[in-house]
Amino acid sequence: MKIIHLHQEETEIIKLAVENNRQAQQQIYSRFSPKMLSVCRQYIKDIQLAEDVMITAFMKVFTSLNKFEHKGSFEGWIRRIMVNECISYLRVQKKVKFAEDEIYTEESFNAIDSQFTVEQIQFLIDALPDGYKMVFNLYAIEGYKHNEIAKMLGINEGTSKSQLSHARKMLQTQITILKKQDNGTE
Amino acid sequence: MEPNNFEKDFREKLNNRTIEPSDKAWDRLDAMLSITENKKPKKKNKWLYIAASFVGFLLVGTFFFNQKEQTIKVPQSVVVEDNIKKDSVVKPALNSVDSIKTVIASSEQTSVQKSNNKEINNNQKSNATLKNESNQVAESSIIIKNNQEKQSIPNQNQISKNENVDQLLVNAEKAVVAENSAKQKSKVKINADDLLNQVDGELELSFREKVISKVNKNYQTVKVALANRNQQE
Repeated sequence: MKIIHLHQEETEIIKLAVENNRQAQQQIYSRFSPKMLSVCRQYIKDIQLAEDVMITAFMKVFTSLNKFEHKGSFEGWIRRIMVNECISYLRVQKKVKFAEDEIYTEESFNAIDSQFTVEQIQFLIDALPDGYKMVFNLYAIEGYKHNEIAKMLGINEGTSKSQLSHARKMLQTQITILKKQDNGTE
Repeated sequence: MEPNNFEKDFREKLNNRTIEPSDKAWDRLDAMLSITENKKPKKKNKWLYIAASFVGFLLVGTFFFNQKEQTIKVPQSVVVEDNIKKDSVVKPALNSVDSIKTVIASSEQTSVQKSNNKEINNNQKSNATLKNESNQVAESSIIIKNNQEKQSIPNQNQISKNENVDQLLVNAEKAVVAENSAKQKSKVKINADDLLNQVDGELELSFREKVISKVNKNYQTVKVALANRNQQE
């Protein structure tokens, strides 16, 4: 019952926000902006730039709110807009280019069991080149498939796979270094 | 390729993370939203204006075309009236001329016959001459009937009744005077209203004809061009 009530409340707020009710829009913003800024921060290292991208993405959320069909989760819909905005920012502003090599290894790193804080995780991701970062974020964090990522970034599926494997290798080495450092301090 | 353990850990931790945006962020978004809100109604208004102007053009167009039809009707009626008037003007004149001629002819015939009768048959009874005269007058009246309209028939009857030359002449003179006066009156009427109407009608006709001919020419050229293109294809 609570869930239904919450859902009804959400649809009511969305309806109001579609009619440009500023209070409803602010409610949606204040409810989702902390999470969405975190999403943007995954892709963009500079927190100020990440916030800028988040604001433009929220603009898109409110201008295309009438197209939301209340089928999937509202948060997922907003999140997709955020991710797309971050990608287009990186591709347009930073002119990220993907090396079109399709060499990739399907290794798994099950052995590694990380006990990192979010800050450490973000630090590791930030260290990745933008191309690797995008594919890793989309695949590992957002859960998109390679064919979806290829469409979103306008690259081959093979390129997406190779970028992911490169990102994983880089992260692997970074993690082992961090672990060694941790072990050394211990 | 299954997601690795560290990836699962990354995902969980990153998805649970929240970063509070700065206080200014909402103000900026608010400002951007109000800008787009101001823009949106303008766009709607633009469409409204376009729609309104389109409807206006349609109304004006239909009104214009209806007017054209009316103007076409009006000159026609004017022309018909003119023709009627012309006919009415011309016919009396012709009739009058005819009637004069016939009156003169009849009078001459009667006079000649009278003189002949007097000279040759002095002894004959006046009844016979009267009969002859009446017969001849009747013959002339038949001829006149062929030429004249019903209006002149009473006159003819009168003429046939009046046997004397003087009376016939007097009648003829009267008729001529009456017809002249009638002619003048009718002429005055035409000068006042009908000529202007006629001129207007002619002007409108010429303009309309020009427009129609131009449209026809253009249509024909387009038609020919299209036909040529289709043949070439």
